Amino acid sequence: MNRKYLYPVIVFVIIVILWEFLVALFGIREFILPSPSAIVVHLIDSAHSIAYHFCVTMSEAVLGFLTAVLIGVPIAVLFSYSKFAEWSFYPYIVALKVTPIIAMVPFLILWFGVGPVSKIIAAAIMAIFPIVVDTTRGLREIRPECLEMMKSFSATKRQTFMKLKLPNSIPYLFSGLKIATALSTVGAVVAEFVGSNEGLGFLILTHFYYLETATMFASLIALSAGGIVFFFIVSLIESKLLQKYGIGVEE
Amino acid sequence: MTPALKLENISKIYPSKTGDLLVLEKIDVEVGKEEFVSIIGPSGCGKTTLLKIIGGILKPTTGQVLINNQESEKVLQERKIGIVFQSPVLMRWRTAKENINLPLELMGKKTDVTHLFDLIGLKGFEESYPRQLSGGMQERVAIARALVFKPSILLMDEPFGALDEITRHKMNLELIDLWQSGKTELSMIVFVTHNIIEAIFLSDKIIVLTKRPGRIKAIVDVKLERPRSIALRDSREFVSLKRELRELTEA
Repeated sequence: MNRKYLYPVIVFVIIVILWEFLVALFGIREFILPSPSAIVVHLIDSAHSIAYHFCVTMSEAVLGFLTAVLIGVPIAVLFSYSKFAEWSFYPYIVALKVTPIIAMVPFLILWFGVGPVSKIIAAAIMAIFPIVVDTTRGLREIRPECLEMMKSFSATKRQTFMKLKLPNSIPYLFSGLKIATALSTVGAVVAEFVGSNEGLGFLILTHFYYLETATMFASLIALSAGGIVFFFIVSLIESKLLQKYGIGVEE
Repeated sequence: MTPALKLENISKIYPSKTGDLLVLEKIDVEVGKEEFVSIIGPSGCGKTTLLKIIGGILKPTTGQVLINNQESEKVLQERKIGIVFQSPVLMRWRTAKENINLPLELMGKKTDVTHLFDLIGLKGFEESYPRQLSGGMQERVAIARALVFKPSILLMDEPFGALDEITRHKMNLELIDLWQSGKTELSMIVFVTHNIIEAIFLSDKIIVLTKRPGRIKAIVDVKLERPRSIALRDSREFVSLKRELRELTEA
């Protein structure tokens, strides 16, 4: 196995052993800090319920992410062609980004209900910023010589976009998408905390009221795992695509 | 006889906040058919600007460029002009072959380009990506790309400027062979350089520009026999031309 993947596993094992040992040594009560073994027991006990809520949260995050892509990429294309459009709308994209999502969620719930729709929108709001910003940059950051080269071959605007600007923006798009995976998960969970009756955010909040700390931890671990897998799936698509088109792959 | 290339009263002004910048002033030149022309002058004298104006990808502020009595923009649209830029400007996500194919793709044509790899000495590198090729090889790909649609005029902007002396020398020999071989449809090459030896070795006519704003300082006819070979560089005529040009460019 590659050492790159081995080291974090070793760190994980050391932390778990230390944690287990210290909890036992100081006799810390379970509702303050459960031992790793207790967490595993709860994870197995409520595996069914965690799996269900996991699916709810992750599908909200993924759908929000996809919505952000579907809306964000065309906005980036618009911005890349029209400074006017960028000047007009960019401040609002920034406003969406800087306004804490938690303050916006009550409105979303008011308008779209406690169901998954408000969560998907919250996830999309979080994810859209890096997608718009990075894709716009990728579509714009083209050496003037490349544009002159296309002009020297009498390329049409459409051809210049399809053959030059779009492929050039792919690595930028993906750097935005990777950040967006994490942000969309955050958006979905935050919205669940404010008001919902399912999802991992709801699960953590419910168990918090009953001080079932071990189950809270189990849900948290499921959430991290989901976020990591989401990130790696997008990274995998990125590396496959970049490999196929030979973009930025080091020898 | 009508000249194949006629520059009439070309001037170029770049407007800027600190005042308009006069780059080229009153350029009048006539070039006959089957001529290899070099434009030489100190850096910043507007050589590149002049070449882009000749190629029809940049509009002059005054004057016009006529190629066989047609405006150069029109000639460019008819795909009669191939341009090799200062850097190879290859698309990094395309193989050498795909890069060379680009102009044909834009025209909606499909032609076999394998013979070009023989011509430019890159047989076996068809599927290589630009990052896998040396600077000299990338430059060859750029030349092949400019030749692929069989233009009658080739414009080259310091194509070998970034190469080391040995490679530059080799590329000069290959370019002159290509020009003299009759394997292309070229009836004229316009070559921008600041290297006097390169200019004399390749050209029939050398246009010497002054420092900014670029004006014509002299037009030197190079009446050295063709086909030319490397031995020519030591001949007395070559050396005296070299002295003449050095005095022209230094004064």
